[in-house]
Amino acid sequence: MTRSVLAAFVALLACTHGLTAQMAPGTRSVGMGGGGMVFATGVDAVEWNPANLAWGGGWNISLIELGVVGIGSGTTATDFLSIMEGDSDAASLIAALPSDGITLSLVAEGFAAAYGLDLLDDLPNGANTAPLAVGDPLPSVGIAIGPIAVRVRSRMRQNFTLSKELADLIGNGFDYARIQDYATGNTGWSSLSTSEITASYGMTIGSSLSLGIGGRYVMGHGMTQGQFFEPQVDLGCRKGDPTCDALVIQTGSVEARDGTGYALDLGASLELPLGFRVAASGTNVVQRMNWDEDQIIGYAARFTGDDFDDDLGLNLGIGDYLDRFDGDVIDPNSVSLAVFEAAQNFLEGSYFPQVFRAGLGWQRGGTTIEATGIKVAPRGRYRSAWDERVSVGLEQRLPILTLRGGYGFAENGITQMTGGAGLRLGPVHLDGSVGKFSGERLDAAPWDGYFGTLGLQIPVGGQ
Amino acid sequence: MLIAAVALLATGCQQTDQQLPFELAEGEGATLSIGPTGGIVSVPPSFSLDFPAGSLPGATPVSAKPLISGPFPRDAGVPVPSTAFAVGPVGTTLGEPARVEIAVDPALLESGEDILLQVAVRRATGEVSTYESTYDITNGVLVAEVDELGPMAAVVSADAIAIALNAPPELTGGTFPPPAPPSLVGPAPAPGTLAFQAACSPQDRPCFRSGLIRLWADNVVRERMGDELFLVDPTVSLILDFVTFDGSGLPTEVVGSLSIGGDLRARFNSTVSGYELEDGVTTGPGANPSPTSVVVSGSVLTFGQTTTSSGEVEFNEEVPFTILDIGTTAMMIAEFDAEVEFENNDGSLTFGYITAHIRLRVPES
Repeated sequence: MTRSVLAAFVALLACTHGLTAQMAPGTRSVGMGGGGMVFATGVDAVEWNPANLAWGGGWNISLIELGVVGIGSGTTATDFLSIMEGDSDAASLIAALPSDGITLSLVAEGFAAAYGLDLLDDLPNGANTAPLAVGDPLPSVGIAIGPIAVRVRSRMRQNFTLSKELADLIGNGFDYARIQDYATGNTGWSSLSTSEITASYGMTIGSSLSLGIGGRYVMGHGMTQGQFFEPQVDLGCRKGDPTCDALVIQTGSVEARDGTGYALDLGASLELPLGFRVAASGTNVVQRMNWDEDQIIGYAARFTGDDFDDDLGLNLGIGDYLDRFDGDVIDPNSVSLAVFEAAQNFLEGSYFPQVFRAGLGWQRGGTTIEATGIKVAPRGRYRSAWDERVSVGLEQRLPILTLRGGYGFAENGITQMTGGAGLRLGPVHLDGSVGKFSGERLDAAPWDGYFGTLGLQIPVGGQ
Repeated sequence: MLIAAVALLATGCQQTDQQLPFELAEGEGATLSIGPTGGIVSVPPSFSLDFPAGSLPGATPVSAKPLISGPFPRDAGVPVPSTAFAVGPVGTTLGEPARVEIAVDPALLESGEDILLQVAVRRATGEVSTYESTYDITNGVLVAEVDELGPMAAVVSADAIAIALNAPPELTGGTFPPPAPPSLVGPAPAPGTLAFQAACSPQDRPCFRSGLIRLWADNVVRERMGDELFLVDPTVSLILDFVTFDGSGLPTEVVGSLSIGGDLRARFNSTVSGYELEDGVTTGPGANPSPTSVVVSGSVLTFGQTTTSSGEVEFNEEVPFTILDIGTTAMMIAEFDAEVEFENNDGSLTFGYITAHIRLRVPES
């Protein structure tokens, strides 16, 4: 029971604090292997290429945008849960983990997903506990009217790494005879929650060239970073002795709660003969992001070997564990070194990187084929391992159905295979896409992950 | 032209990194009032002192700042650069120990020094005390619990005995020298007895420099604590006073005591931590040494009755020995085992042993 609760706790950490990742929105693009930039229209064009707004016409409303991406390395999602639950095969699964442990990344796209995770992210003493309070993610909606579009987008990104030794401690329980083996290594987490309001405009120059520009206002709802410190060992402490702890693991984390920023996007699109089109866009070409330095919250928590000892049957609940995190606005004259260490490099690179895309597409009748290459600038750590990639996608429109498929290959060995479908019910378009991450890595554990998106749009007129 | 403009815009308007507003100016410190409910005083990025509730009886202005007015004493070891802090009020004793964390950059340490790191505090009396410390190798943080305020530093202990992992050499016995003649001057042994003594400690005569002791670990200790072991700040006191002899000059009765202690330090994966080693034995049935029989057989002394430091009475305790002639006097090497207890999941204990070879000399008259 204790182990189950711990598994849930760690899963909660994994879900609430993790990664810095980025997934361009849109069920269409996701279904096309992460491409779909060349012929993105309406509200989708705001993110992919504002120049495409010039070709669209009509109007388009995006009412719902949901997406979740989860990717890890070191183990599969199923095996990870078995380890965390302490299943009968946990020991063999832990033994098979790579030496650098487990990495989990999660991105939630859209108001509902981001807000749900944001609620889970609330820690005791946090200010952000009231439902739908100021500072929470905004609804993900958008409207495009001819060449002008406005889009509101909310995202939550999370990263979590777990050392093999700590997975051992959680999965197999605390063993006094193995006290010398435990280590937290690279165990830690980070997260980011933002909402963005982007206004874009596209214009044609002549009959075949269009240019686009977008301006974005970014609201940072929260950014966290934390780490586990190496265990402190007391070999002289006896089991059940309330006056000492054989194993103590300290954690420290920091959270920034108020950030603002802006960004400028640019795009260009050129129509070619025979249904071909080439396009290029730059996202965050110019951008600024600033977090309120006077409101950095520091948290510290302490866990002991008893927390991982099934024999004691403590049956602690998740709330008991979260209650351990004691936080306050950081005063440099009164901060534990654990919190300070956890804050190292917290604000450095705490902004979105510049993203440059170029693509070639062909569209004839109901068939669209696109190839897109994406390059991410090295500065700015709000990015994911799969952002920089080459994607190829196919879209086929049928009478009431649209089918999509695609493949993407990221520079670091991640591949993504995706598929999707759209259903046109009168003026309402309901689209969904799913995909799977995989990929081998040199001298490291393979990637494994899934993602899915759901969107509801009402397009009228135009392309 | 457009591309050039975009490139100029993109490179010219790059985001600059924000910095955390935590770091203080060089040499700057903090003074905070800490009350009975506890609190933290810190000097980012290198030092914090966390007082639990009950540590201080009333509101106390606790100060901490980098120690730059003078060097930290080297009594307990070599201070690591930039890790010394002046903490006051000097001499304040704490009701509950305070947790001190000192950042120690691993790059400042020579190879193998991490295992010898300790937090040292200069007490109001001027004495420098070290505390059982844990060093997080991954993050470079040294942690200890201190019971008194005063200048603090991370020090690399200069008094540490490396513990060997192979089997100790066999001792070979030898011939006992004649008992001491009657003497009227000085603290010489009583007439007709033969006394051997050895003593070292960080305060008086550091064991490392004295060369009085060599140590070996058995397989249990190695399995539980790893292959890199040191006894830091060892304290050894051993007296064997042979009081009666038979016709062939072999002792038949002995009075003596042994105490051995120190911080048994090991590298546990990515953490350096310690075990407080403390063991001892006295001859006879009680805590105070009293005469017991001794039988010499080859290279082994068999003591009739001994009492361990935990009060356990044992019979026929065997002590391997070697006696060496060194000029006008003799030196004895005696072998004793210090017990190390390891907890098991079922609440039972597993015992490991540190074998010590202690070199004893006949006190000069």
